[in-house]
Amino acid sequence: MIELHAVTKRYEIDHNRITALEKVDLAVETGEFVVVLGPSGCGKTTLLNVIGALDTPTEGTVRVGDHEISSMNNAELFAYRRSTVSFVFQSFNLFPALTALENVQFGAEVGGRKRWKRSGGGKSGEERAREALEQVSLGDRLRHFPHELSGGEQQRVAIARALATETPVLLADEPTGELDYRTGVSILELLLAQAAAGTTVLTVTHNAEIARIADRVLSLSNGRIVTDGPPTTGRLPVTELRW
Amino acid sequence: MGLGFWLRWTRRDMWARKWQVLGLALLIAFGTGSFGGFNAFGEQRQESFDESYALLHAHDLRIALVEGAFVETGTLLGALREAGLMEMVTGAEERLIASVQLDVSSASPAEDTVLVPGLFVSVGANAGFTGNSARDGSRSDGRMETAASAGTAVDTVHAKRGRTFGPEDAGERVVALDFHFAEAHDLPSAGEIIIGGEGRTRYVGQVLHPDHFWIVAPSGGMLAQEDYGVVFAPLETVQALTGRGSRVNELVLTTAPGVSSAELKAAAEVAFAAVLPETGVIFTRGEDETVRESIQSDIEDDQQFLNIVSFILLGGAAFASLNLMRRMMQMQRKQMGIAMALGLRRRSLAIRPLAFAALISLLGVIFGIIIGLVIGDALASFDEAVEPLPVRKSDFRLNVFVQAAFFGFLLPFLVAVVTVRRAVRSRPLDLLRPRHLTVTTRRGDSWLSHFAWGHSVLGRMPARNLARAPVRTVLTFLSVGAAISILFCMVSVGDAFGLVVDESEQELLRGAPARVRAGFSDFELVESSALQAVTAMEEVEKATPILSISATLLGDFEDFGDRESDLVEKGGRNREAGKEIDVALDFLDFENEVWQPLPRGSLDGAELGLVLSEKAAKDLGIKVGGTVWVRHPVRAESGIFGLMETEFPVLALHDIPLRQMAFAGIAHAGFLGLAGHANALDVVPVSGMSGDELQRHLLSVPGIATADPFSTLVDQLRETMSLMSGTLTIITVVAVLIVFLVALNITGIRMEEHRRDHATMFAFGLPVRRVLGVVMIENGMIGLIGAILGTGGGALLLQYTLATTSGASADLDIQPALSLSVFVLAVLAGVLPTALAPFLSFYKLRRLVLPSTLRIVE
Repeated sequence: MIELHAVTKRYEIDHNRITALEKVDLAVETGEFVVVLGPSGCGKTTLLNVIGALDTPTEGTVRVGDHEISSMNNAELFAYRRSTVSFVFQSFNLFPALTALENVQFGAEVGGRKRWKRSGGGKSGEERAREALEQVSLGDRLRHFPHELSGGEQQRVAIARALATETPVLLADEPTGELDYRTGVSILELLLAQAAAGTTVLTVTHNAEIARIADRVLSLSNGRIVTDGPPTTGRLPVTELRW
Repeated sequence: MGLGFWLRWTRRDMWARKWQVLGLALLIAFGTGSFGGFNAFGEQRQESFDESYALLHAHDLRIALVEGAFVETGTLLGALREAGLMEMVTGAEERLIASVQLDVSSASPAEDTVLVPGLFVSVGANAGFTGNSARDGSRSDGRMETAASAGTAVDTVHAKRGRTFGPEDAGERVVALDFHFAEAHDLPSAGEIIIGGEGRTRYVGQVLHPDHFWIVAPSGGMLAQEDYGVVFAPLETVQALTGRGSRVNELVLTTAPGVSSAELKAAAEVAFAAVLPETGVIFTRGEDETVRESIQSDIEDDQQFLNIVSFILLGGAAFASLNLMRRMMQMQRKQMGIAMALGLRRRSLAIRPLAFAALISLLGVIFGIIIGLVIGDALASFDEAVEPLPVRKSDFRLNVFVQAAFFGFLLPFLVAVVTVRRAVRSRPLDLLRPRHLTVTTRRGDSWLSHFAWGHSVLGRMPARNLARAPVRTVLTFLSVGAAISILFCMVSVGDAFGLVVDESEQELLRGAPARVRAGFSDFELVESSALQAVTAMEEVEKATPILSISATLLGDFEDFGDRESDLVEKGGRNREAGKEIDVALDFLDFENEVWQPLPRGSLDGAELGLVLSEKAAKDLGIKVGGTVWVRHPVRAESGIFGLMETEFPVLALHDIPLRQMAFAGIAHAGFLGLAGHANALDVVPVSGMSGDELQRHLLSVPGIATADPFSTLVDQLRETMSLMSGTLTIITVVAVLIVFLVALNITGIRMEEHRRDHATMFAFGLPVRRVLGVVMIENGMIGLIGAILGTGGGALLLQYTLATTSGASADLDIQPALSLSVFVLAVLAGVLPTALAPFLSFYKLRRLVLPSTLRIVE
C-alpha cells in the first residue's frame, strides 16, 4: 500500500542544513496498524507528512496505492489527499464554526459528491457523518460545537471525520498526546478497529507504551529507521496498556 | 526591566506584524484625517470669506434704485447728508450698474467668439487701494471726498492679475475684468474688449469684487462666469461707456463703529422716503445680499454636512480599528499568560500591549494629520477654483487636529485598555490554554447549529463564522456601512443634481432647443419698430414678446423672522418680513407659439395670477388656488419706477426645477404700469440655425442689449454641478478608500484567524480556490450587509443633505434620485472590495506551510 524508497528530507534554516529523513526505505501493507516511535525531532512527523503529501521529499520516491507522490504536481497532490489519505491531528484541528456532525460531514463530502454517493451506497454526507459519529459513540453530541466538547470528544470527532472520508490510509499524529489515559485508550481502540476493517493506519507517537498494540513498530532516530518489526514484547490488547 | 526594554520589544512586535500595524494605522489615519481635513477646511473657508470681505471694505448697506431708475451723481449721497446720516457711516460711494453685452473675442487665446451678456459696475477711482495689488503697492483706506463718494472706499476690487485703478483712470477707456469670467475663458491679464458694441476698450487687470465672489446671472444661475461677464471701471468711465451721462443708480455704505447695518437701514429708509418719495428704492443689508447670504449659508450647510460626513467616516474607521485592535491584543494573550506565569506584576504585564496599542494609535494619528492636510489642500484647491478669493487661509488648524487626534488616538487605545485589563485579570492558565481547547458552556450557542444555510457544510461556514463573533461582526458591518452610506449619499446627490439639469434642459428647450432671449435696453411697446425689426429678421422663424422683471415673492405672515428692523410698512398694513424669494418674473402670452411653461393642471391664460415653481410654492407654503404677495417694480405715469406689493393668486405650478422662474400672462402687465410693453423677445431661429448663430445676429440689432440662448442656462447649471463635484469626489474617494482598507484589514484578520482551518482543509485535499471561495463568501456577506446598512444610512443622509441645501443649490428643486444604479453601485462598492480582497492572499494561501500550521496550538 505504502512504499518509500530512499526518501530524504532536508530543510535549510538560516544556511543550516537540517536532515529530517535520511534515505528511508519503507513498505506498509494494506490494513496494517503501524506505530512510528521516536524522540522529538527524530523525523517521525516528517515521515507522516511526506506520506500524507503535506510535505514533499527532497530525494527518493513515495508511492501510495497507485499514486507516485514524488512526481505529482500541486493539483494532483490535492486530489491525492482527497482520495487516499486522511488525518487525525494532535490538536484535533476541528472547524470551530461547524458542529460535530458538520465537521464529520466535511470529511464525508470533501472527496466529492460522486465518491461518497458511490461508496456510501447512495447515502448523503450527513447520513454517513451520523454513522461515523455513532461509531465513535458521539451520537448524542451531533449538534455540539467543538468548544462545547471535551478534549477526548473532540479527538473522537476528528477520528470520525477521518473515518467519514473513507480513504484507504489514515495518518494520526500523536492522537492521544492531549488526552488522559482513559480517553486515549478509547481513541486507540477506534484506530485499531479501522485497521481491522482494512484501513492502513500509521500513528506517530513518542509514547512507547502505545507501540505495544501495533502490528508493526518503526523506531526512528536522526531521520533513519533504526528498528522495524512487531512489538518486542508481543502485541497486547489495548486494555492492558498503562501510561 | 526598564521602559526601554519594553519599548524595544514592542518595536519588534510591531515590525513582526508590520502589515497589520500599517493597515490599522491607515484606518485610524483616514478617520482622523477626514475629520481634521474637513473641519479645518470649514474654518479656513469661513475665515477666508470674512477676511476677504473685510479687505475689500464690503458694503454694509446698499441703496439701489429700481430697475430703469437713475439719478444725478451726488443725489443719493446728498440725501444721506441731508438726513444727517453721515455720522453713521465710514464710507459711502455712489455707483452705476448697467447690463451690457461683452465681446471678448479679440482677447480670447483660442480665438473663439466670446459674446456674453454681462454687468458693468463702477468702482471708486480709489478702489485700487486695497493692498497687495494696487499699482504702487501701497496699503491705504484711501480717504477721499468727491461728488460720488465720501469717507473710506467701499466695495473695492482686488487684482488677481494685472492691476486695478488709480485716480488717473477716471473717465478713461480703462476697465478691469472679473477674474472668474477671465479664468473661464482663459483670457490674458490685459487686452481689449468691446462693451455694448461701442468700440474697443482696454482692460488692465482681472479683479475680484465683494459683490461678485460668486457670479450670479440675471436668470438666477449661480457660478455663471462662463456665460456672464462682470466688468469694472471708475464711475466716470462706466457713465461714459453706457451713455448714462452723470447718472448713478446705487449707493453703497459701510457703517461707522457701533452702528449696525439694521439701524442704518431703518434710518436710510425713512430719509429716502422723504427725499425721493416717488422713486422705488431697495435697501439691502450686506448680509442679506444674495451672493453673500448664499455663500454664508453654503459655508454653514457645507460645514454641517462635512461635520456629519467626517463623524461617520471617523466612526466607520473607529469601528474597524476597534476590531483590529481587539484582535491584535488577543494575539498577545498567550505571551501575557507566560509572563504572568513567570510572576510578572500586572502593571508590568500591561506595558507591552498598551505600548503596542499606543504606538499604533500614534502612528495612525500622525498619518491622519498628513492625510488631513492632503484632504484640506485638495478641498481648498477645488474651492479656489470655484470661488477664488483675495484672502485664502491655509494655515494649520492645531485645535481641529488636536480634536481629531484625540478621537483617533483615544478610541482604539481605549479598546486596547479594556482588552488588556480583561487579560491581566485572567488566570495565567486561561491565557496559556489554547482557546480552541477550552471547554466552555457559553450560553446561546445552540441556536448557531440551526444557522445552516445550504446543503454543503462549506457553504454554512461563512455565515457561521460571522455569527460566532457577533460583536466583531456588527462592528465590521457598521464600519463598511458607514463608508457606504457616504458613498451612497454622494452619488445620489450627484444624480439628484443631474436630474435637475436634465429636467431643466427638457423643459426650457422643449419644442425650441435653439430658443434665444433677446433683451432690450429699455421697455418698448410691443408694436414698436425695435421689436418688429427683430421679428422680421430673416434669421428669425418666430418670436414672442416677454416682459421680464425681477420680483420678490413674500412669505406668509406667520413665517416671519424676528428682526424688528425688517418691519415693512406698505399700503396701510404692517407685515414683518418672512421668507422672501427673488424670482425672474416673465409676463408672456401663454398661447404663444414659441414656448410657454407647461403648467400642471389647466391654465386659463386670461386669468390673473402666477405660475410658480413647485419649490417656490413649497418654500413659501402656498398651494395652487392660494395667493402670494409679490414685491415688484411699478412705473408711475411720470415714468419713475417705484416698488409695490401686490397679492396675486397662484394659478398653477410648472415643471421647471428652478425656483427663480415665475410666469404671468402678459395681458396683466398693467400691474407694472407697463401695459402693452415688453423688454425682451423669445426668438426661435429658422430651421438649421443654432442658438449661438442667432445670438450673434441679434446682437448686431440696435437696441438689443443682451441675447442669451436658453441652452446657456442649462450649461451654467451643468457647470455649477461639475464645479461642486470636487468636494463630492474627495469625500467619495475617502469613503471608497476606507471600504478598501476595511476590506483588506478584515481579510488580514480572517486569514490569520482561520489559518489552521485552511491548513486542515488543505490537508483533507480541498483545493485553494474552494478555500478562497469560503473566505470570499464570508467577506462578501460582510460587504453585502454593510452595503445594505450603508444604503439605509445613505438614504437618510441624502434626505438630510437635500433638506438643508442652500447657497448655490437653494434655487434648485432637488429631489432624491434613488435610482437602481445607485443601489447597485453601493452593493458593488461594499461587496467587491471585501469579496475580492482575499485574492490578494491567494499566493500566501498557496504557500501556507501545512505541517507547521497544523501543529500550531494557538
